[in-house]
Amino acid sequence: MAAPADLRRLDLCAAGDVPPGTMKLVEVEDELVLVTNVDGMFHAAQGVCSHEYFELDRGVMIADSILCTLHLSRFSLIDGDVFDPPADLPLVIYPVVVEDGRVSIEVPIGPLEVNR
Amino acid sequence: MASSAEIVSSEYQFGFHDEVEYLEETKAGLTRDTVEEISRFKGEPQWMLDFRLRAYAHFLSRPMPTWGGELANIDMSKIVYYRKPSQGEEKSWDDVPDKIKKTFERLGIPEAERKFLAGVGAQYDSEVVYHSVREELSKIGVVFMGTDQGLKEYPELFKKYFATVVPPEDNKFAALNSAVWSGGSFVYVPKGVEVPLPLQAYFRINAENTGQFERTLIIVDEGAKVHYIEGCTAPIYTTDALHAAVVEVIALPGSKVRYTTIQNWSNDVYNLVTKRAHAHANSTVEWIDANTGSKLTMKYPSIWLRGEGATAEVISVAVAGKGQHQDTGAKAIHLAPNTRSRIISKSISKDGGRTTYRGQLKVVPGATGVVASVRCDALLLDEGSRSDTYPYIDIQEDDTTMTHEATVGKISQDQVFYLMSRGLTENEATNLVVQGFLEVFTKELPMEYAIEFNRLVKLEMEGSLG
Amino acid sequence: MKADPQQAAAAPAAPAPATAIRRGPADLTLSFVNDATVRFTAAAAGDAEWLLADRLAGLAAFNALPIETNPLYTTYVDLRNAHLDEVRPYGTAPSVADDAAGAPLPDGAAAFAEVCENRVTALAMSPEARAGGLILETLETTRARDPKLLRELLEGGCALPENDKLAQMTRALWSAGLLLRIPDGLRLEKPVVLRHVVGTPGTAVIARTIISVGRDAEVSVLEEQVSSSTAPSGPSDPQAFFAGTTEVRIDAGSSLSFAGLQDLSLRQIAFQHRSAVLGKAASVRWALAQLGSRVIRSRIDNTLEGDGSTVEQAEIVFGSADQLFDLTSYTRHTGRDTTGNLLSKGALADKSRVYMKGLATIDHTAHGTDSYLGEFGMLLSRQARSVAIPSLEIDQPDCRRVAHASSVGPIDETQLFYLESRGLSPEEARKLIVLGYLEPVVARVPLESARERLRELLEAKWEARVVAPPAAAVA
Repeated sequence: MAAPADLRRLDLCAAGDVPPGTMKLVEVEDELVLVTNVDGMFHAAQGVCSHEYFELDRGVMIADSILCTLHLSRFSLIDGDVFDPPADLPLVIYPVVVEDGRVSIEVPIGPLEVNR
Repeated sequence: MASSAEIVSSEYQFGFHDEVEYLEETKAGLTRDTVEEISRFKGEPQWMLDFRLRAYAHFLSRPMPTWGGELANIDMSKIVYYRKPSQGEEKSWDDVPDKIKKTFERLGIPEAERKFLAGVGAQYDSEVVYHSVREELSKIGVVFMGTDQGLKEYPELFKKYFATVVPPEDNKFAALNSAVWSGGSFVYVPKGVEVPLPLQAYFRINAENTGQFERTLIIVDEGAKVHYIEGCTAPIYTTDALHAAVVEVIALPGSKVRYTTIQNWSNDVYNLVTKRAHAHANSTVEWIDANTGSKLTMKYPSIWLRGEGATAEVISVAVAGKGQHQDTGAKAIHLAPNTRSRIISKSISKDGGRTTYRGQLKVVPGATGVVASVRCDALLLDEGSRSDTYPYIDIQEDDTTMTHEATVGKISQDQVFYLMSRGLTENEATNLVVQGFLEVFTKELPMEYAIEFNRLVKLEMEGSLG
Repeated sequence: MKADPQQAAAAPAAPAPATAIRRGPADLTLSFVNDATVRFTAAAAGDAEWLLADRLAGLAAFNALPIETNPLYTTYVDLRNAHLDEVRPYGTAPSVADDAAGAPLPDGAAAFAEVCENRVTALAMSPEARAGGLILETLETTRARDPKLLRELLEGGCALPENDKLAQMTRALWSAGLLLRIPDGLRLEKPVVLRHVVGTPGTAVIARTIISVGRDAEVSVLEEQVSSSTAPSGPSDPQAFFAGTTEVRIDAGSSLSFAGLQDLSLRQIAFQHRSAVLGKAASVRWALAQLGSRVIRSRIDNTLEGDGSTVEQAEIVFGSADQLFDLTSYTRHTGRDTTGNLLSKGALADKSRVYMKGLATIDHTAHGTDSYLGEFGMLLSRQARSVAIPSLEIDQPDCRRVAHASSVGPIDETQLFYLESRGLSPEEARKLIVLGYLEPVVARVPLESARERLRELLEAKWEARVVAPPAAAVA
């Protein structure tokens, strides 16, 4: 199934690379995307904390949230909402498509949206 | 005693190769060029230069903190950000203030060491001790060398762990340190090795370990055990205004690390340090920390408990006298189940000095079975002194057991009168009460440090009563 | 291989669940807070020039201030569950029902004032209270009776903290006002009951209550915030807004016992500001129970000016659903030999949260202070959360005692075991322990019927909480 006209698909990694309860940081088009597997469902969020620069795969995954171990902000992996301060801005979440064993995101044309 | 020149040339056997450029010191102030110059002189790999530059950019973008101590008077443009360690020995003994000389005498510091501590001459004796210690350690596979050297000789190990505990984006002064770091210790203890003697930064070559921007990296492999001690009770005489150091400790599963610091910087130094440890499963990390000098210290030894069953302990002491502000504390962040932490903080303010305790205790969801306790006590000795306490306690698991207690007060007159009735003078009695107050800390020190530390406290107390 | 059915069913191209515009935790839209509304309110009440000017000063401060000015607390603010764009204030002062003066007093009360939405439905007192010279009236009446007094009581924002954005909003836009005045020497045995009944969706009730206690007097007050709406409310139902103050001034030698019971519905957002300024040897006892509202932000400022003055404060919270209790307390010791005993206790179930932010400040002039600050949390479910920041600033070493304590823990195993060994089921034992934990405030409610009601409310909250099966993962 191809993406609709104003969206495009970015391939991230193999589904098998990210078993349940784990995460993987993928670089795509000069941006970092965090792929996570929460109870079998794949999610994709911006790979860098919205508070200060920190690669989120160095943080700690707690159930369906990610804790940034730099200043301890915590975000929902489902909708990016801030659970714990000091972050103010949520993480941008990218819609995920899983096809043929590959995890991709379907995003608008143009640079990848990231909250900083 | 060997001349400066001889010391410098013998040092080259162990450290740097001959470089085409010879850098004594950078111009005052900090620019991108300064950072590049430092990295080039040290002959660092590209990734370290990139790292320094990224840190420098972040340092520029970060505002000065508006909380904590008064930082407005630091003139960043006047600081010399890199100085070759052998510099600063151009001073003569005559230039050293009398007060410092008297303190050495009172503390019983050996003659030969006094000049070293005053930055006046290279310490030949300690260099000999250092080399023989290194030989013993290398037999058991323990690495203990300067951080610059560690980068050169253990590049993969270094790169794996460097800046993983304190990234440049942590805070403005971590960013500064990341851009211009030089000196500090690099320690690696292999699996299962118990280092039989405390590693003392003091052993190493003179001013390198008291550099303004030292960066220490300690990696303790699985099941290993080490005690690292830095600093000393004697006042470090320096004209450097700013000491912004970073210490990173990685305690791999089952290891045990104790890091003891006794710092007594002279009273015009800003001491802004980021010290943090990652404690993995079943490891133990202990910060034993004394702050008696400096104009302003901002330092919050922290432990991120990342593995199940890890244990953290912080015992810290702060003494603030006239014109001093000790803004210290501790952080225990429980990220894994069945972890434990204990924080004890004792502070003394006198002569208008100010102590602030800033602590953070956090238990994240999933960190079940945590037991944590904090105890902070402050003594205010006289009018004009001030004490603040700001603990942050954030608990997100319902089976956490956490207690926090704090008291602030003056010395119990009852205790003093009782001791006086037993024949002590008021000074002696007060000193004894203060020693009792600090005992939880001093009993953790190795004997010779404890003796010196008690003498130092006595001196500080007399200053206030005299 | 086909697209993963799980993902396909989850509509991969759909964006994340919408929360319309993503707000930061400290963002709050109060679209009615503007110059036009302030002027309308002032005009509708027939305010004198000075009062309009005072309101406009409050508006200016509101516009200039961030939600939280204290750098200690800026990261512990979360107003995202408050959706107040659509609420509108009544604007006019409450009308007084004809039979308000003759309304029956609650059993055992000396005086009673009740304001339902924007209508005063009760304003009555016992003959003894009247004979004693007690004054309980709307600020409208004060304006008419003694305009100078009104000015004295309100001008300059009086006891409302200058650096608090939401207090300044209340200063700008209050329309429901009450004055309780206890004259010198009056000792009232029975309590005065003040009640606000609010909760109609889309409305904002902004109220000020001034309590002035003369010298050598003694009075107890029960203040209640009760829901007017019995309709069930869920997270997406339109909300109601209540902002209220209790501004207390206690003259030398007097004491006030104040119990507060907030039990508004889950569609309510409430901001409360209480303050007490104490004269020589004066004392105040605050006993506050926070049970309702989706977001309740409560701030208490105590100023111990008079030598020998005392504050005893106990605030309890029983949280359920996704309630947020944002409690701040500032106690400042400036006089000599003052005493402060401050206690916060939270029992948190479901996904509720409490932020306990208490600061005790001992000024240089405050010799002989005795200050204790305790913040305690009992988490009853894995998703509940307790944040405690008990802080101290001491500028005067000559204190009798300065201490603070905080603890968080589950229900005590030993206590549980003891009660179970007395024949209680584990569930009953747990309930008894939790209710016992919160009892200190219950015991201080001065009216028996209110005490009973509070106990019933606490029990109902206990029963209603979601009991998660033991193996449930954190959601």
